[in-house]
Amino acid sequence: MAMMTAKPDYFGIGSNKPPEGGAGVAFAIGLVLGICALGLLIGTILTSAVIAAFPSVKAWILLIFVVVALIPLLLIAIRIFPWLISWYYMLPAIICLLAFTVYPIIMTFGYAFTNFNAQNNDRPDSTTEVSIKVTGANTLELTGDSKLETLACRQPGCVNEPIELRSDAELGRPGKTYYALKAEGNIITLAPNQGVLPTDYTRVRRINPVANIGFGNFTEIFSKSSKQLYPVLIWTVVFALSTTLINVIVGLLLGILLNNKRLKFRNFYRSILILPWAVPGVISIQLWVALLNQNFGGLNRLLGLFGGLPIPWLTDPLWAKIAILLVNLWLGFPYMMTATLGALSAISDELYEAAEMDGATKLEQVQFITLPMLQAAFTPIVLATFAYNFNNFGIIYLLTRGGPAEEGRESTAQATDILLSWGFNTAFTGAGAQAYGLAGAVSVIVGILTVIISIFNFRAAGVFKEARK
Amino acid sequence: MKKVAAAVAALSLALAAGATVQGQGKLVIWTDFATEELKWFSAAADAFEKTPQAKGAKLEIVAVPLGENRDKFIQSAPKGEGPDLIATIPHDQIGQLASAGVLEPMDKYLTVAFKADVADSSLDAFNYKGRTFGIPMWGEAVALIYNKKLLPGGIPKTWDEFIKVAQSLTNAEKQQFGYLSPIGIQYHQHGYYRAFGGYVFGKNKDGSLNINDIGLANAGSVKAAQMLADMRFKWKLIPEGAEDDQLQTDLFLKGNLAMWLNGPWKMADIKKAKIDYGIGLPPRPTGATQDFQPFLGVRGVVMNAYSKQKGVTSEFAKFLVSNANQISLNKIGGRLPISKSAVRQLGKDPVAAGFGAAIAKGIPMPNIPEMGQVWGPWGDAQNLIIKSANANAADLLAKGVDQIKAAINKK
Amino acid sequence: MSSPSTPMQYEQRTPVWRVVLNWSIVAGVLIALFFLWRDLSSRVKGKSFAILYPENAALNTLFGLVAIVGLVCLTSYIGKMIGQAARKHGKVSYLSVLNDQLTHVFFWFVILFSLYPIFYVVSASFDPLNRLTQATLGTSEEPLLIRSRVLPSLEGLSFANYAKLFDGVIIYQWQWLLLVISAIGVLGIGVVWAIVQQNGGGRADPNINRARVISTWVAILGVFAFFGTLTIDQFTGFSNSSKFLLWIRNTFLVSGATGVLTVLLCTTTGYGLARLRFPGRFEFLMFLIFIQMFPALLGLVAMYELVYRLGLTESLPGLVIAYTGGAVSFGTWIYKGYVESLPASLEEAALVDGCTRWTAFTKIVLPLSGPMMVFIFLMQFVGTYTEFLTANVLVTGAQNWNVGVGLRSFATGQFSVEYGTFAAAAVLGAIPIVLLYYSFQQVFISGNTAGGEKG
Repeated sequence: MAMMTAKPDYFGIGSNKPPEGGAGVAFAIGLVLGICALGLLIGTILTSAVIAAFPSVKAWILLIFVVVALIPLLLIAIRIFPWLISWYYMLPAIICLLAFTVYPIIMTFGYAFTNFNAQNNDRPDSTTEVSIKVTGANTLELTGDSKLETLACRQPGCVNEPIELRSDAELGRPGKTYYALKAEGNIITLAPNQGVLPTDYTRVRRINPVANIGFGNFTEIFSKSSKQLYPVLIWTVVFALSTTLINVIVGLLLGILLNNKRLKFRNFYRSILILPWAVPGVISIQLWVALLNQNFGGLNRLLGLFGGLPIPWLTDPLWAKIAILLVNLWLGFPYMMTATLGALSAISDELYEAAEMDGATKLEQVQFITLPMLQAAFTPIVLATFAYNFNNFGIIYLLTRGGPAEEGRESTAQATDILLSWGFNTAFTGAGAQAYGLAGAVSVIVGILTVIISIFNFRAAGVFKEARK
Repeated sequence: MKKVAAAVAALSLALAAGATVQGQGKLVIWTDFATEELKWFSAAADAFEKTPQAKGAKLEIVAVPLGENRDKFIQSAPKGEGPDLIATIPHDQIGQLASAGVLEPMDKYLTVAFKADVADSSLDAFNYKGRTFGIPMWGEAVALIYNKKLLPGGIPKTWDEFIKVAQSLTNAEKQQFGYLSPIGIQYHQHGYYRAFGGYVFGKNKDGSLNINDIGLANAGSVKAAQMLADMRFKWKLIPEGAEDDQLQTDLFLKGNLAMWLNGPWKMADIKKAKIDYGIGLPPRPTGATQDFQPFLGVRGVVMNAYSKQKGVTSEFAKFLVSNANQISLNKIGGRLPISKSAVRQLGKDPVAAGFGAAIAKGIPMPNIPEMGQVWGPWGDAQNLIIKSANANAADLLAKGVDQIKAAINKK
Repeated sequence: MSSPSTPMQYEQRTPVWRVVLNWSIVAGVLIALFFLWRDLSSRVKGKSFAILYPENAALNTLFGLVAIVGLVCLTSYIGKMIGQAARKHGKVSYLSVLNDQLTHVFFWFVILFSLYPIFYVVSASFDPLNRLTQATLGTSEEPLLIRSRVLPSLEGLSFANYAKLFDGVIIYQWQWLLLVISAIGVLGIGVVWAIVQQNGGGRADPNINRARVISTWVAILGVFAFFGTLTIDQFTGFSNSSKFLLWIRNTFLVSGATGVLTVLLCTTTGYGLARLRFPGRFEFLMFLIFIQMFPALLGLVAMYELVYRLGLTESLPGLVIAYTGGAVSFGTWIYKGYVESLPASLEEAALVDGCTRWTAFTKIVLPLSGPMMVFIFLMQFVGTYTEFLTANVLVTGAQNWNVGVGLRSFATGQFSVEYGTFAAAAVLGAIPIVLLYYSFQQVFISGNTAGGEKG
């Protein structure tokens, strides 16, 4: 206190007390990020030095150098800002997240504003190769029977078109990139000031540049939103909500039944019922695809024994949705059941005994003791389950691949496609295949939608208040 | 903190020791060959290593599934991480790979003698924008495989008879089927579309494909789509659920299926099950203007444009497609060589002859990147048409084509 | 974990609106089911040729249902009588016995539902004909369930699919020894279990417990040592499927390393967030939550780019890197909740005694949180065990695949799907995970909710 009144220290230099208020937060975060950046810088310099000396060394030593560089930096920082020690608990995770999560995300966001895809990749196009000879300081002449059309310039006259020049001897290595000034007849003129042109160049290929297209990807997505984005978004929310609800109800029911200490074989039941959770989904979902076949699947054959008609599980838009909920229930109920059991084990038996003395029935006990007590434990679980299912690409991809086809829908956004699988279809299937730019834009949209919906959920569940505690 | 850092460092060091290191003088070959064929391929690679053309290079074979190699190749080749050669790539991926700049034009490696020996259509298949981007190795197309025990007279010559025979052999209650094919998969059904006058892309004057002329919703295509629906609803040949490939295989191998429209890749299983089979083509459907003309798929080897050892790689490519190798591969895996002399040498092999006829009639699948936009909407339309007896085929196909056009023109 | 100090007050009367709500939910579900039924009958075009419809199926079903209900009523009555006879005083209520028996019936239905697909995959793994479902119905001699192919026919079973997975695999003698050691560990677990059962299953004495822990570790370490020492040279088979053991090894290494890394990262972070108050804490918590909402699937290209720049494509460390980032949030959140549920008094006492925060954490909290660390490790291990999307982008050669990529490769062949091999690999590949679940059942049960119920 005395120190603070004597001289207000905004940065908390030499103090155990961190700076306060919004500025304090910003300063703390800035400081941590700054230290990380400095560590990265030193690590990069060291790495480039080592690689320059020993070319066979792989770039991953950067990771080690960064860690090594950070140690003295952190020791110095803690001398100056003793309050920073709290952040040091977080630092390993921060570094890991920055490197392996944030960095790819930033890159993906960057792609979102480009036309980056398999073709537009800043690489020369094999189909445009023409042979040339260097005839002047800035001019190339087509040789043999090569034609300028082969170069297939995107701009008329190849103005400012990036092209790659290489010599026959260099086959295999990417050549050097030049910019064309213009191309007429069989003469290509290069833009000036690009250095001396080696005379042994014999081949030209046009480069497919990655261009910045601003919000082009987003306009494309929203231009088709009524056919794709909206129906898919609606089903995503419906799916995530209902599958969470169904799984929670079934899990609660089983868990509460199993929690009855007088029930015989309860350990046996519990052990068996864990199995669907333990078997990896890649395996079991594939099995369900076979079991849900309309005419040959085990499930319809079983129904047939009881006189049931064959249900078009995977071929009808409505029933495919039900099938997904069913399979997700199979996959998810053991988790909910064990979670219920775990939470129930914390409720003391005395409570029930007291209730029984008061003449409460079993149902009333569940309603007034079990469920309220479970609420606290279940809130995070339900939220996590919802968030997980919101982007549960796995089950859609493995079970229905988004299908079946539905009239009036596009092939990238079919009856059971959720946001993520729609994004995957849009970006990675079809001819555009590998439309990384579009994928980036979709990921931004899906990410923002997920965050918005989660903020709603968190607010309702009081997560923010809890976190501020 | 330090302990954590040290542990991280130690761990990454320990794991990285297991990483593969790419050396010099080593060719990396990706292949989708599996089991027996992989063994054959590996023996061929060993044999090549001993030839003088190999110049002492060692070949490293990496097995990459067919569905994966295109995307992986596009991603890794420009970074210098891709293979030197891929054996094999279906020709319909050529356009996309070439535009991505990862394919080396192969024209300069093809000898006149080789060109003269292979079927023209297979060279065309690998030709994209005037360049040959791969060396064809074998072809495949669907044909009508039939069970001689159930169909001693062979495939009927006329369509009416064909339907009648198929119907007479179909007894769903007894799990007997006269004719089945995966009616939702357009790759298999293209032959019918073509027979009625449908086509995927029209041709420009110079013979290249015109991406603005899509013939999948024309009158012929509608008739073909309707006829496929008739197989289910009118003639009751292919009940719902019976389009499943695995189940058709099961039925044919059990001798419960008389005629099956499928490809040579099923022959290994059929031979193993000792089914007395014959291979032919479906008759011309009633109202069709042409014969059944299946999609022709050609598989070939392609070279990485970023390969550092193109000389040796091209030697290996040529070695691989040599006559002797095409024949020995046929003996192992039943692949149908595209080399005319190899076909002659195989002589009267029923598989080679049967599918050979289909290949001869085959229309090469379009190899332009735009084809990728066709499969989805086209297949969806067909799947909706075969789903209900009163689907409006013309409308569904037209909508599908609209979707295709929108996707193509977006670029 | 603390039980509430004051007993919960509950109301004796249910408010009217809740009754209305409950019944309207029931009514809604019934109406929805009715419409589904209507919808179904309009869509289904009659019976299917590949399904067996016994005569009078509906009638028999009804009859069967009535029979089951009658049987349960009867057995409940018998049960009540027996219970009454065994107990000298007090009454055994018929309803509670009936309730009990109905619960058992219900559980058996759920068990059938749970086991059906698993039974299928096991039987398919022995089918040399590469089928997951058998297309044709059986003959009338077979029992109804098999004739209708509700249960697969088990004729012509063979180990051919399994043999494919071990084709050309050479295992050295000392590696066999490791397996034997591991088997001894498993045997030890069995013996301990038997002893515990013999003694009535109550709380075991410390020696028994120690024996259990030791044999568990022997079993686990033996298996890890076995897989850890496998090398690519031992796999001489040609097909991809013969690399199966190698995939398990890769997965063990990758998932194990990811798990360890995650635990290291999450414990310090989780502790700091739970116990320390500092500017930026809330912001960091929000960052942790929201960063994981980004759909990583669509950013795989960027992940490839990162791993490529580090020179780690086509290697297992590259996979570890890709997995670790995604796991930190979940683990931290869970661990934070767990620490918050621990009483702070222990650490405070230590701090008063002059301990630093760090020693309070390492000496007091860490030893307490063993099960939690195991839980975080297991979640991470299990979660990445069959991951295939990321792995598929980062590694290409079959020798570097993990189990997930390998399994997918069997199921996605263009026109020839190797279901038999898939099933065999699935069965063997699932065994380690299933064993983990069973060995650490208690951890899984308490782990999920440990953080949720802080006092």
